[in-house]
Amino acid sequence: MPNPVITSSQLVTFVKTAFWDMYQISYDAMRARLGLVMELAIPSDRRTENYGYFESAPYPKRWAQGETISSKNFKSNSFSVTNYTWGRRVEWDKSDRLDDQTKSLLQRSRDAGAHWATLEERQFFQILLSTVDQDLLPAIPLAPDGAALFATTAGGAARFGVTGGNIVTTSGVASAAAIRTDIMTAMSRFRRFQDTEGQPLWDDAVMEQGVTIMFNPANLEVFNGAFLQRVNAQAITTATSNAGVTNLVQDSNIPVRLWPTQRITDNTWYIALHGSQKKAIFSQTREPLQEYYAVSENSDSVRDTRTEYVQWESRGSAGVAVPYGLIQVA
Amino acid sequence: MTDQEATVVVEKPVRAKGDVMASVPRPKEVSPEYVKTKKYRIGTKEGSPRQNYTVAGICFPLYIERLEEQGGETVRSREYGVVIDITDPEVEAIKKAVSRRVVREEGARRDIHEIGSVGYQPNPNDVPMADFLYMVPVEEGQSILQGPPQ
Repeated sequence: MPNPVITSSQLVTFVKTAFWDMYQISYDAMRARLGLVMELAIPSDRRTENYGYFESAPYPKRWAQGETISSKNFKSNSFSVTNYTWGRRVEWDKSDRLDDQTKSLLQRSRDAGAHWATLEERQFFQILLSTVDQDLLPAIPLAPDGAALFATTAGGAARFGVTGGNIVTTSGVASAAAIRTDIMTAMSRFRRFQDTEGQPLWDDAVMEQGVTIMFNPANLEVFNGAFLQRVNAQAITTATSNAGVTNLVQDSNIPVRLWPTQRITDNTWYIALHGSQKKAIFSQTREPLQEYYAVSENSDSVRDTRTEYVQWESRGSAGVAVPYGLIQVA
Repeated sequence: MTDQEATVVVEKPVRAKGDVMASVPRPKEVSPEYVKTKKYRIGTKEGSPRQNYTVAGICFPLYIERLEEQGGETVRSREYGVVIDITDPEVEAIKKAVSRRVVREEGARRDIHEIGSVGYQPNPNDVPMADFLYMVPVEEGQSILQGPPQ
């Protein structure tokens, strides 16, 4: 159904062009940040992609003299991610393009293609926040272990072998001290994660690569206080504990990258390990972005209607891997 | 010499009268009565703007999957909600946290807001989060595989 760009009458008479790029925004910084928390653009070559992995192999066991060596198997797991098609068309009347004094209608329309850069980020937050949105993924995928992305248990046992799984019960966001308490609890939780054989999951080298913290920008002041302020109150409960102390997170030399995003609107926040073997959320690409441009020279419909258009399409999807590198504080 | 012969037990320790360890008080925290948990089936109702919610450290999923390996294949069967063991204080903490939260649908946004937190402004589209969740005690013998409460 035709749905052309609405061009105001001023744009085809006379306007100064200084502000034509009002909504010309860059996604470079967002892409760089996203790459730290999401596995981007895994190649796909079929409609539904099947992934599989083995659980942890057994560890050595004492072999008593005279006895037969002990053997132990280990399980494997598989899961699938279906690709979807993504598309958008922008139409305009040929006369509007020719008469547009800003000469920006085409450029502005092509920004819709630039917005493809946000697709993976929107899918990432759709999965992270578990949002139902039929314009994006039709359902939120579960993790390969059968539980939700964030869960205290999986398969009837404590997820990753530790009480609470990858959810830390929040201390609130009323103070920087409360947030520091929770980040330390989360870092401790990461260090207590176990592989499927009950052995420590993360090596120190992984922990030392730092974390990205995603949170509601309404809490910017308190998060900046928790992670960027060099000296602050240890707690807000008593006069003595109001003494200024150095920042425990900074003293711990944990590289912290803050990501305030309006996509998070409550006091829940998220911590992603940069060095995680696999990122919790990933995207796969079946067909990269393609652009089509229809004008009188190449389109019957444009010759019939003078409605020109540019359209974009791609195929791909997003999925959830084992989320041992991601913790929710809620 | 076998591994077992390497250790020679001279005298096996026995519980004897006057053993100091026998008089050490046992902490109440390790008694089964101290932390009484109850089974609840919890989850998100169908038609909710979010598929899963996390409240007071507990996830309320729309559904989970049970995994079985059959002939080298991972077979997944879907169960609505999840059964968890929690204490009465945890139940109270969940109720308190849910009572402060609302879900707001506006355009493409399906946001959660916390009443009283920084930046919160009441909105006519706000729906109490409690309307989208369920938390049902699982009695002895009650089926836990039935569909989600409507």
